[in-house]
Amino acid sequence: MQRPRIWPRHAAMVAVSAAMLVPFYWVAKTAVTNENIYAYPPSFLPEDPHLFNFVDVWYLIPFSGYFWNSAIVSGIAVGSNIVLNAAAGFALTKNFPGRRWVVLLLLSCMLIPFQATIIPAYLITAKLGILNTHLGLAAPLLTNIVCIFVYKSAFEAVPPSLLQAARIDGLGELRILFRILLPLSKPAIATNVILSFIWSWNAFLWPLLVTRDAAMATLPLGLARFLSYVEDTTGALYAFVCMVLIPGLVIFLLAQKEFVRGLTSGATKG
Amino acid sequence: MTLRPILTSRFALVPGAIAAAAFVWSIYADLNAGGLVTGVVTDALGQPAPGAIVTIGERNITSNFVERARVTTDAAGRFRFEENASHMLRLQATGADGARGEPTIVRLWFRAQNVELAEPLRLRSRTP
Repeated sequence: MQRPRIWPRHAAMVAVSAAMLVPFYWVAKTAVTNENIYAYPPSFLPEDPHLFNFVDVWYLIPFSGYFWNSAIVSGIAVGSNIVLNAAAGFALTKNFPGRRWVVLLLLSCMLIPFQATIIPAYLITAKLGILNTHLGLAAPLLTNIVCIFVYKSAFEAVPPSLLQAARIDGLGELRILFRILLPLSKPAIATNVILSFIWSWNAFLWPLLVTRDAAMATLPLGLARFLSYVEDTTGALYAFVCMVLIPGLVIFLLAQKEFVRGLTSGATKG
Repeated sequence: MTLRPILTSRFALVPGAIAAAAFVWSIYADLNAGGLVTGVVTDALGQPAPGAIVTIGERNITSNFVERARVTTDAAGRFRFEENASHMLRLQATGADGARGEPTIVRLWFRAQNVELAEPLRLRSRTP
């Protein structure tokens, strides 16, 4: 029996992947040159590439300060996401009165765009006295409904007999969650880490509203400020974009296997 | 549970390698950040230009380059500036006879990096 040829399919996939990577390549190419992006005809290969644009970004603005602010905010968001989402997901695997309504409420909340909740969110943050703080910057990202359902799906895949055995051995519900369910749900954790990190790392509107001084600005705000100050350095601007993108890419590449498994783990269940 | 599987996983190795590279780079930068800029000024014929004035400007985000200092070349046409605190400089030489050279941009890998210019600052011949 003749095996089907797979190279045409692979060639098509390579072509589509290459087309999707062109914008990233263009950003990286502009970052290592001083080419004007409007130059015509555009050159595909970089001419006289160098890394000095990255040095410019590092020193012309307080990049390290912005970076640490973003890292702290993302760390708070990722940490609280893992704990709160896992706890909520675990609760939703149990039978309790009104469970269906809770699920419906959560799903309906997903329909409300963030922009519609900005004013109440701002007022609550102000009442709590955490405006212009790292916690205030991370506040709307402390939990996420999508990830709650990712955890719920992952926890439901764990055999109930395992949980019953743990209960017979005297484990409480919290210890079952942290000692048994979470170690068995690494794909769900990876999914949550990647999504919450990228969302908090790239957040622009909320940090713009709650920061009062430049020392609390995160990288997206720094990028906007850099763009307003520096008008003639296309290369430095794109170098800034690369420096903002790299941490997210590293985290995604590190956890991509678990991420893909986490997103598809619930797909074949009834 | 031993630490070995955690420490040898990619989640520890990659951040560890990045942190180690940043640490080594920081030490290298610290050891070579003396703020020393040296070079030679030559005339239009390539001969050393004693008594030329080298104007040193530093890159600033709000304005392009701000003049930081002026130093004078010695008998061998050499100049030396020891208080550079910037990562990007603009050097322009003016000869004793008033001839000026093209501005030269010097880009450094870190602030106050010690650097000796590979190419001399060349003065243009003065038009009568």
